[in-house]
Amino acid sequence: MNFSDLAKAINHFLFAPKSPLPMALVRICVGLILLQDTLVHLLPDFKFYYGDNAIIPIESTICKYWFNEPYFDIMLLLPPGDTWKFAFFIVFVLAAVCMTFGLFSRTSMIVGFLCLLSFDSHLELNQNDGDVFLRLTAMILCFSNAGDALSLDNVFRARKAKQQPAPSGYVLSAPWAQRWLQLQVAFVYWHAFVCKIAGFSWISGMACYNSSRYEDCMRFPLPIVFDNLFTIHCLSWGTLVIELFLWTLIWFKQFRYWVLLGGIALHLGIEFTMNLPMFEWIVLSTYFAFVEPEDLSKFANIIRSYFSKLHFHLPGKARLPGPQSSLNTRPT
Amino acid sequence: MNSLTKRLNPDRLLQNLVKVVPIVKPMEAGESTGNSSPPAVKPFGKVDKFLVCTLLFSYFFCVFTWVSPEGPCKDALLYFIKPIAEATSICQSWSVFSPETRNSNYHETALIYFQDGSVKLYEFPRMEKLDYLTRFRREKYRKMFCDCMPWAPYTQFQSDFARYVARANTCPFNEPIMVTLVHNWRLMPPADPNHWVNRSNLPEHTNQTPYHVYYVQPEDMR
Repeated sequence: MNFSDLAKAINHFLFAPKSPLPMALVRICVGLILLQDTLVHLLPDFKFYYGDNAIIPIESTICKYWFNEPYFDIMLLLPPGDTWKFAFFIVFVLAAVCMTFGLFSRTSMIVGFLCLLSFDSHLELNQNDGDVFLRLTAMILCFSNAGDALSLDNVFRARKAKQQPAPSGYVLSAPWAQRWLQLQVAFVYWHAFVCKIAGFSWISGMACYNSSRYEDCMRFPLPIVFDNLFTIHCLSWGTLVIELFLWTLIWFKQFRYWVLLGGIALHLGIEFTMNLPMFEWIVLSTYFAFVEPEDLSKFANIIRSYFSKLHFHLPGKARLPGPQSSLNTRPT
Repeated sequence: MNSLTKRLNPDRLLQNLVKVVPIVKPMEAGESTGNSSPPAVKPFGKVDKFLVCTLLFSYFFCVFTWVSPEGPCKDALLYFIKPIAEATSICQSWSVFSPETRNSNYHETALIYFQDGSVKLYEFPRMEKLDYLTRFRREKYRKMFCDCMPWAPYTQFQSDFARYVARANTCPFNEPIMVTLVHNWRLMPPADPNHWVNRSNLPEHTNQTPYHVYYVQPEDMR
């Protein structure tokens, strides 16, 4: 492979037009998780975290944590008073709602990201890995074509033009932001894997013994599984294997869905046993970026045909291979 | 013959086709649709491509540098990268539960000393003592009081935590004068098959280590 071939491969990987469907699904999930973050986790303790008499005043954060480094925080530009901060919070919630429904998609994604960035910078101490990954995903979404599918914007655009959408359903565009997200997810698993194999407890298969006994993180009880040496070994080594595959084999189409299935099992297992809200769901939602658009369409058609059997009517219609669209469809 | 006619019935065939679930293949650029209108494709110029490649390269260069092992090379690069990484909050590390898992359980308390010599014990929220719903909604308490407050790089905020506790326990004629933050901990029992301790039966945190003493100032209570 010479330089020209490499350039062509990169060009194809980043810029060959693709359907926006996978990123649209990521957008919807991120919007919902942002709503969970704001309404479930932040709203009940808003004054405690961000009020004028917050547990960590912003002056402390600036002089003890930011030092002279630049941090992004729109709340510093607001007039003093909790009311203004709360109004800013409302803007954040509205942006998350618009993002979920795909209304003013690009604007809502940018506003949502900047609000999230501001809240995260304002108080660093209540941020877990879920917040960090949510922020990174929200940033990547701002650059993406996620608003071109499954969005109110798309519906309004089609109505305005008074025409049917393109035969594939959506405007195709360069999927570089989707690739960025894929690389970011792979990076997460690479780093997690590399850090784990540097430790004795993971190699010896005992890591899940300790991690399942963190009292502050426990969620639902799971007897037998974590009270048995054999299963603890299997889970520890299984975690390593799945994390290894999630940044290596995931790039090969023939293994991808099996690897994703392993990732789903891993994260749902953690979600059941450990109380780490958001992290597992935000990671799982980015898995949509790895799913081929045709497989998503196939899945949607299965759902549609299932519901049509039950005499429910879902929006959109299954495309039949026929004289009008024979070249546009590929039956199994 | 009759059954063959039934099978070849066009209506029935069409119904079966619907059940077979046809797949719509998203089109690649330049692919013929067979319809009058080709798929709409957003244009992407060479300058755009160059900018995107630069952005992605810069991003992953910053991120890889951020997580690379400590050393003079990293220090030199961080001098340029840190301001960008912090302004955009792209700093990240995914070393949770690694390289070694934590081998102790703990919770935080504060001892509040009042003017009259009395002492009050305040226990910061303990997730394991909350119900499922509250535990889920208030997870940020865990992050703040368990993961951050006692440990570097957040030790500089311990005075703020102590001040908040003092303010929350103010009395008009008996003000708090001192707050001590205490780390209550216990090592996890070893995974010994002969003396196995189940997940649901972990020991109490009986060891105590005071780690911050804060003398309350009069202006703190205003």
